[in-house]
Amino acid sequence: MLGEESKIAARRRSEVATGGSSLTGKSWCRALATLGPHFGVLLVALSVGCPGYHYTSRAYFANTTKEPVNVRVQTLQADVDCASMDGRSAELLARRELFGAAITYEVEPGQAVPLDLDDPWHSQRRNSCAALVQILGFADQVVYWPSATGYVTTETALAEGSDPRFLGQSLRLEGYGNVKGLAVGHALEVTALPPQASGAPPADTAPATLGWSGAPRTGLGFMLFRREILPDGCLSLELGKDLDSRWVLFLCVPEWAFPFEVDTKLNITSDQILPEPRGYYSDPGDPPAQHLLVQAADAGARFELWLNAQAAELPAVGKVTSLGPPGRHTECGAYAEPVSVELPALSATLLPGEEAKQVVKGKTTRVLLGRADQLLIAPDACAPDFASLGTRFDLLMLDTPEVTP
Amino acid sequence: MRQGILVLLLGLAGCAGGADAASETPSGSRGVTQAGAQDAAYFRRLIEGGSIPEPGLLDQVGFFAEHALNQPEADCGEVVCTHPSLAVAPRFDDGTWTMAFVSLNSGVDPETRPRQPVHVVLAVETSGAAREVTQAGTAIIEKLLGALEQDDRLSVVSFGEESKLLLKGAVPGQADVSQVELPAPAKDEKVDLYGGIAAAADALKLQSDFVGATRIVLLTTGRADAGITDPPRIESLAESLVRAGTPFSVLGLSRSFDASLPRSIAELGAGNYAYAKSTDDLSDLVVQEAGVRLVPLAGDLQIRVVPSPGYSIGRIYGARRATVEDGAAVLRAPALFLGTRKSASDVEGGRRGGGGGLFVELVADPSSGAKIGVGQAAFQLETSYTDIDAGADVSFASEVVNGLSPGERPTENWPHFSTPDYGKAFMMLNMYLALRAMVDLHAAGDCGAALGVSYMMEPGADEWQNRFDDPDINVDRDTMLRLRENIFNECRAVPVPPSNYEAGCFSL
Repeated sequence: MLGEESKIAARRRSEVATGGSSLTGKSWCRALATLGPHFGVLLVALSVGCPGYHYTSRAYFANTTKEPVNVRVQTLQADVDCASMDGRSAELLARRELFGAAITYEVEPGQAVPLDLDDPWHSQRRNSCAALVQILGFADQVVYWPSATGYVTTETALAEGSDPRFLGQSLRLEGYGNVKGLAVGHALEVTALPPQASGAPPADTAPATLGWSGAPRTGLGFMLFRREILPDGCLSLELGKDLDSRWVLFLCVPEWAFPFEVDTKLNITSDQILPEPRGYYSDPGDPPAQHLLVQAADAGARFELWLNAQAAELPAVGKVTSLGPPGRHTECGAYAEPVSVELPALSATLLPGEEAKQVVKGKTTRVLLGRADQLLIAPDACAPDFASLGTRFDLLMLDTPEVTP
Repeated sequence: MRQGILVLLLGLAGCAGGADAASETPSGSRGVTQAGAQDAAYFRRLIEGGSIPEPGLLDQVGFFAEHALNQPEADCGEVVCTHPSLAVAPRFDDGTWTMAFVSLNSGVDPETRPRQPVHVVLAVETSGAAREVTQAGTAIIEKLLGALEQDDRLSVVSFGEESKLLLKGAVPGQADVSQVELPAPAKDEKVDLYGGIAAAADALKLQSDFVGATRIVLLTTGRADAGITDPPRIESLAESLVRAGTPFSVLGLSRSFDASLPRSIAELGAGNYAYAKSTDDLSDLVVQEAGVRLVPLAGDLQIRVVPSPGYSIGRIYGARRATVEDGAAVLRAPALFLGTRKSASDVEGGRRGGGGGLFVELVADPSSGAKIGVGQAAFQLETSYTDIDAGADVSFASEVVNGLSPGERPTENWPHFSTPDYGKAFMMLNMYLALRAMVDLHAAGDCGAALGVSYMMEPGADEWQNRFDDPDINVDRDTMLRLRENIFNECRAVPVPPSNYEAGCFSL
């Protein structure tokens, strides 16, 4: 606990040193003051001598009552395509699992607290556009500031009650005694959350699940020794150059997609392609595209599977088009909207879970589009497939040559 | 000595830190515990040692499982019976706390079922963190094989970035496993948990001439960063195995244990779930595993709590897998197993009462109260499953009446119970909510409110003890007071009542 608080204090200092955009002035003093109750007298004494400070922020909480109030603020722990959230924050961001550790502030009467406190370690890559605000006596509030919201700078740590911009961009606690209420600035979208542990609908599942486990080898002439179906419908395959060097591959594809019989010799290629950098930097969280190619050694059927692919990586793919809502919420809290994938050679555009088939000169090409997502919310807690923004899809392609009698 | 512990399982008790205590009821009915953790021993130990645990260490399923709950007779005429009840209490604010509870039990005595030999597949993670507990694995494998019956079989698969079959169908008393070792961990090796479970599924089929039951025992740190890493897909594989009749026990390893995925797998509804903090713990747990008998009773269980007019579904406790669908709370389990355990020297520390069930808050619409009036149904419980022995689909429904109108508070600060003899479950929930609120508020830096919770709850706990003198609630109360002391020692804050507090007020 203390370690975490120390880290928070250190971050605030770092922000001042690097000229962070969301907090300016001697904001570390406020952080120290906030931490006072946890550290005891020492930090409180340190903060007493702080000079005045001011804030620059796109959203505020303000206490306009006559009494101090404890406010917990949780920042986003997810990459969010903020521009896509305008008008949809209640639907997409009103989920507790998207928000991280809480910081508690004791907000004195008349004081303000800025809400767009980007974690400076992530400020290079993470847009902040929402915070979860918890105030004693009220339902928890998700505060979203739309992408076009400008910054408002305060003169001091006090709420700027006469500044219409400040009022428009603040969630304010108002009233007296037991009669208090929350006022929401017109520029914000604020959603009250249901209580913790409230029952929730089941998470949505992808329309088609493709993938593999195991460590496929690359090379020529692997014998397929065993082929079985696992209880979840995936294939369990045993391959090797000989009986002593067998390895297993668990392949999640429809049964038709892997037409190779036991005792067939196969040539296999398995590789990864790192994603194109987004903007100035490459996000280490972006998963590489994975590629598995299996072809009968006698130049028979050819199986190809791409996971987490982007259009630029696949020559066979034309336009990838975002289809917009409705999307799906995954179990880890990610939100994805479907995309369609164009396959010019097949004159087809597929939706997630759709198949296409073409027969040309006796060769049958069959294609299945698996997951095809534009990730708009990507929580840190998700597996790599869902932990970063972007458009990615899984694509299965099977070429079967004409069987000559 | 074979000590009978008859517990019908969504999951069978098993833990590092559970004292030996049966949940056998005097009636001969066997209570169903929710699968997953079976105690909160570590959480309590930290408090006893003067610490304030992190909120994540209080597992609701484990906490409930420590409590012995009386249940009505399992006389519904089916292999699994469900028992709904209702409590209505004042909240600490102006509201009303309306809570439904559903417990399960069975009249089937597992000792009347012939023992089947079992083919156990031990799937062991080989990462460096796991190896700190498993060591080379030889001793664990020897212990497990030694504790199995002669007609049982043991196979072992290891998994890191790749899975390997290390032992195939070893016969207890005959096979020499002294040379079987887990592969040494490679530097920066990832863990393909899906691949490990899939390899275990493959190993189940290797003994084509074996006739009997199957079981997978998974030793994992919870890491899954190679191969198929998406948790729902890993759970889906485990669930398909359970649905096919293979119970799935999960033993957590290492100081860096990440419980989220193992817990989800354990809560599928079959087998043990435990954490081994040392090699000795792990040895004890695998031996205990060998003594467990699991008889499949029911498949595709579905429980639906359907609120009556005037109510809607609020919070849900006791079953993380429960969801809200079409306005009803729904809990599904792929299979239910009837379990017995050979005695057991459970490892250390906690209590084991076999309690648990599904709690569903009913949010009353006060405006409908006058219209609906008193003595009307608050919810309907719909139960369905497949009786595995009979091969028949079973379904039945019952209603629970609220003696008060929706949203009406009892006139005294004492709950209105639909079945007063079985009200302890609700007090157990309240004690859980108190402890959870205290550690939550403390973690958020709100020490005053954390302390305030304990002062609000103390009269209710005292009143409960005055009336019933229940040993489980007494331990909970002591834990709460000790936690208060620990928080006060750290923060010296003035207690204040928290807002939006979830519990009901049980004090006069």
